Amino acid sequence: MMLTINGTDHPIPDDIRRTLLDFMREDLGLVGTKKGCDHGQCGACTVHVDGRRILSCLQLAATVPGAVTTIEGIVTEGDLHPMQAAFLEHDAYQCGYCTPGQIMSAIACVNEGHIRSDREIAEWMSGNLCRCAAYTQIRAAIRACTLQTAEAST
Amino acid sequence: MSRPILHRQGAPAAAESWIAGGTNLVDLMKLGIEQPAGLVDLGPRRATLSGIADADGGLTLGAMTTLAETERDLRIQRDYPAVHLALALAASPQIREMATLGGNLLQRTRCTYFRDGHSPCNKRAPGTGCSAIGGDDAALAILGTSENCMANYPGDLAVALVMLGADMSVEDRDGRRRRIAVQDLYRLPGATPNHETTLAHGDLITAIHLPVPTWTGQTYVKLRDRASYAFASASAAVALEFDGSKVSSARITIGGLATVPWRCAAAEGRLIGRVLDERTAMETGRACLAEATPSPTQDHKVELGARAVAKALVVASHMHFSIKAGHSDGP
Amino acid sequence: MRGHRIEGADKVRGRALFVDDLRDSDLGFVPLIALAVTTPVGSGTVRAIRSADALAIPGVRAVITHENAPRLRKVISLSMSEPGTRLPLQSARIDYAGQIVALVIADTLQAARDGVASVGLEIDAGSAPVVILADAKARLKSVKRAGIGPGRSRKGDADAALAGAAVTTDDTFHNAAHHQNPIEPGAVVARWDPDGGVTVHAAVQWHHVDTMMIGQAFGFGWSDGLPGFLNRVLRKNRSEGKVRLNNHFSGGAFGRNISYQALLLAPMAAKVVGAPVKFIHTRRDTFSLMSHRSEARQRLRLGGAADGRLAAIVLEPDIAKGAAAFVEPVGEMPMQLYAHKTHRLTSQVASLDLPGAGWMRGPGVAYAIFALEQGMDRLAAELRMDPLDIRLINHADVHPVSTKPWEAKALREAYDAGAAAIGWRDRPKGGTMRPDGRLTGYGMASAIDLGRQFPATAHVTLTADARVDVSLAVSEMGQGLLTGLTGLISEMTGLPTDRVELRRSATTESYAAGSIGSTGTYSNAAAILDAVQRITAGLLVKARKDRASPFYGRPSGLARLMSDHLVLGDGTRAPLADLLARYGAQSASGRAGLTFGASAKAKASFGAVFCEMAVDAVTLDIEVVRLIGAYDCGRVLQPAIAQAQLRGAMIMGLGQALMEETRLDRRTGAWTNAELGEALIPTQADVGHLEAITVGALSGANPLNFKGIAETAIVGVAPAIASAFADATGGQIRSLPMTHKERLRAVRDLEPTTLKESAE
Ligand SMILES: Cc1cc2nc3c(=O)[nH]c(=O)nc-3n(C[C@H](O)[C@H](O)[C@H](O)COP(=O)(O)OP(=O)(O)OC[C@H]3O[C@@H](n4cnc5c(N)ncnc54)[C@H](O)[C@@H]3O)c2cc1C
Ligand code: SF4
Ligand code: FES
Ligand code: FES
Repeated sequence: MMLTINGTDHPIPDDIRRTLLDFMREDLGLVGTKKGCDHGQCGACTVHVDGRRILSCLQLAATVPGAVTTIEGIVTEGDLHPMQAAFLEHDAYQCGYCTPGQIMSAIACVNEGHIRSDREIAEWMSGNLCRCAAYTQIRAAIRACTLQTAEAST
Repeated sequence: MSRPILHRQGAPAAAESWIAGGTNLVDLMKLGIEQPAGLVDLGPRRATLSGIADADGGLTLGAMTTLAETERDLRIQRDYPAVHLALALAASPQIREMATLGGNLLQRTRCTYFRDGHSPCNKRAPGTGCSAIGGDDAALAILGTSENCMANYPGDLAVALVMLGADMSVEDRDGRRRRIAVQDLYRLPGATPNHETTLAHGDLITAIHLPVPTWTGQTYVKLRDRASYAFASASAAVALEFDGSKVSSARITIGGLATVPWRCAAAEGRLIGRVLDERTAMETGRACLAEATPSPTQDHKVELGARAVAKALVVASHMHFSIKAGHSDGP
Repeated sequence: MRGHRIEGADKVRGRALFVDDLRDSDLGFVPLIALAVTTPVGSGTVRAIRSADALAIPGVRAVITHENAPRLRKVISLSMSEPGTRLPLQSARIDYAGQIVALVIADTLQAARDGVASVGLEIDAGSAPVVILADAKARLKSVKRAGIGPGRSRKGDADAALAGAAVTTDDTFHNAAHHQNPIEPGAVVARWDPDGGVTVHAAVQWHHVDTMMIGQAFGFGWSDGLPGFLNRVLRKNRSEGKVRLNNHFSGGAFGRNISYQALLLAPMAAKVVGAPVKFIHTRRDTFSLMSHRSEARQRLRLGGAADGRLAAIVLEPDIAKGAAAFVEPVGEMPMQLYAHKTHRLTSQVASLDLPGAGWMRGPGVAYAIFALEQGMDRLAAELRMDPLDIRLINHADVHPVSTKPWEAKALREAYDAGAAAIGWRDRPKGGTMRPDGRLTGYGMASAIDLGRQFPATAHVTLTADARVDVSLAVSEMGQGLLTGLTGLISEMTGLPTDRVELRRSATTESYAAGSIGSTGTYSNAAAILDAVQRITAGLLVKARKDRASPFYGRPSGLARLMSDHLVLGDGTRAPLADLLARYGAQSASGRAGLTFGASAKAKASFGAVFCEMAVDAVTLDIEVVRLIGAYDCGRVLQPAIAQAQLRGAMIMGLGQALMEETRLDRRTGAWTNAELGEALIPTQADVGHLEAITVGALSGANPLNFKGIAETAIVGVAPAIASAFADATGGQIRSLPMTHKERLRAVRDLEPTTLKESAE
């Protein structure tokens, strides 16, 4: 059994209690994904599985149902994903601890189409706590990124 | 500390457990509250156990369908707004992508003493006592409690399903199938709060069946202390039918405040034949809580529950009359 | 692209490293993992700790208990943190639930977890712990001082004034304990070095104080970590430099990031196993191994004249204290906000069986101003005055107690700006039905926080190739200090930011002020400015003696660095690069002293917060539709970062108003809802329209013109929100957080119920 993370295959760990989060951080040294609570209660560990956002702290590495993408895998070396650029531009972070999870969630939020209003963005980003409370700036980044993508595709 | 083993097929042996989305089970394993010797991953059976199909005017939902998939389904959004809202207001977008319908029904209480892993708790360690009684019971039940446990059932979906009278298909470990009402899944704590459901070990929920949607006003109201990503302090699922201006059929269940999804049959009966104004809604709400046994630190919860029901009744009734009037804003 | 912050690109890429992220390649070694075993009960003694099962687990290296832990020496904690009062793992006594009683050290995280689960605790229970004020009558003691604030103070005869006042109010307000809950749970890495010193990797808020604490505990010169000059002054000895504390990014802080205990536990563990160790907090640990904001209750009586002027303020706070010296300084600010004839402050403190309480944004003041502002609203209601008008009438043109003039004060502008932005003067009547059927309410409140400066020494070098090098062990926890200071240094030296090097490693020459109480930026900036001024003065001395320089023979005066030039008051100028090339690198140390607003002029930051709320009359669900704060916070360094700080603090205030509460079990003394999913903090969905306006820029005599930002902005939020609820429903909030429970209580006192009113 192999587990694909950012395009690379890894054998799944022997101890099946190993969560995807610990597997990435402890075994693979992929520390971009953060642990805020380890119990599904903060969103810091958000990654994508086949494009859908999930919490890697509640996901066993042995039962991941698809290919994983993390903050380290959303762009090829050097560049920034448009959402990362929007977060920078709109100062959508302070301490930066929740930020990788916010960005992964924000990308999914846009792909899901849950961006028709500020209120909708807010509800669909509510699974990512930010104690620095960069919430309004995060909303601004997502809005801007959405506009940009919309313009690019027309 | 023995490492559990993983099976990708078959049924769980004694001391083993199914794992679906894992959002409750993995959490509880980390807390040391669940210590299965083995896990049977339902992932490989996703193809057969998930999806939403029309069935005799109702819908059949595969037990491995995620909350997110169900929430996205247009039939759910149109015909079962109470179910849709119960899902949309649950947990977080990420958790809803992982969590399955079957797992959601079987999620365990959030009682903090149960979760801390060491306090006396009859549910976690039968016979040790109940720390919540006389302790921090702010988030716990006032309906259906016993002297052994006052843990609330925390989920949202089941409250809507019990209200609709939904049932489900269950397959036992030998492959025999049966259908049971969702309402009959849950057991009151009584003397054995550790026995939470009527399922036998190894039983697999395969599907949930939603009845034909006949109600014209239907909703789910969830009250909590923050706007999102929180369990219900109180919730109410309601479905109404009207004959002219008068209620002809009513179904009401309460969540968050009870040890099991709490059907309010007596209060429902009192609504029949009446015009539903806000005063009646509030009276009905209070009637739904008539059997509540709050502790002194929970006294506000009766009023909270009554208001959740009243709100749901008012919204459902508006929905009926605005659909009749030709504008269907939905909930 | 860099965004608004120096470290921004790393943060959005997930490359900014927090302590638990440090790997072999960052550290140069692989640490073992240590996890805590904590006691479930809050009193008694540890009879035995059975560790055989844990030690039998492959990968578990050691279990450390009070029996085999290294002995620590007494420490003096300048930040009033718990180790100043009690040190971890030194005795069998249990002082509070959640106290660490053992450490499990293992090769891997999973082995350590399995080890923790296998440790058996035998505890002889003591008498029932007392953990809430309601149970602590016998423990309340009248105090002269409450932490850094006064416990008692008086102006005139307030009781007589109250008795004779035209109108009076009398309410008791309550604030529940809650936690800072930064999203990073925190870790500390420690390794003992061959020379007997210790290298520590952590994220701390006050580098030197924390270094000193480690140094004292492990028996180094107690002032290890203090810079040379302070060390010599204090102890006439040289710093040994044996504690090497590497300060890393902090994933939020808000008064605490790493636990002070962890700074000791990691080195202890490393000592026992003879190998580097990383101590990791689980989220649950953060509730009891770290500090919290403690519970407080305040009886407030106000007396007003018929025109609304305050005749008397009588404030009687009861404050809970835990195992640390820290006491929530409730009395520090309330008497500084409004002009008043008389006041009396009489505080009591109850020492409870709880972990050490500690700093959290707006310490003391956030609670005190909640009470005061609710009281002001009551007074306004009694007199049928507009809440804003009663505040304007009582505006303190000079400091209400010392009568010193304010160094700078733009509170009136803040009222005006906030009122204009929300439309205060044209607001609908409270309780008006909105189009969606909900009730409208508006509320407002003032904010204040003290202007403090903490000591700092900065060592600055202008290099011969015209770069500026500043060593200052400051911490970056999201407040934007790195970016802010870099910008300031650039401005002070006239050199572009890419020629500014800000080193965060500790040195013996520099001493950074802690990032506490919003004081970090200007305390450190003041020290840097002092150093830069010393350098420019020195350069001028050299240049005036140098025939080849345009300054030759010029009268002396104040020289400044402006866009790459040294400029004298009369306009004489020379390129800085030329001067440095001729005279070589220039270094100087600059200092900032300690002030608690105790200079010739009074100093404080101010604000006015306005809230529009929608309330569902049936469910009492609240939506904070608009929250607008106008803040007089002096000079704004980096507008984007200032906005972020203000907004973040406002949202934390919203959390304090609506949901933040960590509950306790009265029998065991344990925090019950000790998880992020149960001890609620605001989500994205709780935040509606939010606006932070800055007023009063660039006034006053302080050369840097800064005031604190991050603390002031939390202060007025909870009272503004509570007031908006009262405006919408008539229900008066007395207890925070105002969850459904408190809201229902507030409207239950009203007859008939709002529900019936709204139904009719
Ligand atoms: C922070 C947080 C917040 C949450 N908030 C909410 C909320 O607001 N409302 C709400 O309703 N829920 C909430 N949840 C709960 C969440 O919805 C449940 O954890 C989830 O639905 C469980 O589904 P799962 O597939 O992950 O179940 P799992 O964790 O895989 O399984 C749960 C249990 O069900 C058993 N099981 C699973 N599938 C089957 C099956 N088909 N047949 C028989 N047994 C089965 C498993 O053996 C296990 O015992 C929250 C969870 C978290 C972590
Ligand atoms: S309420 Fe139930 S789950 Fe909670 S402590 Fe008591 S027995 Fe355990
Ligand atoms: S670390 Fe996974 S949700 Fe908090
Ligand atoms: S940026 Fe600090 S928690 Fe979000």
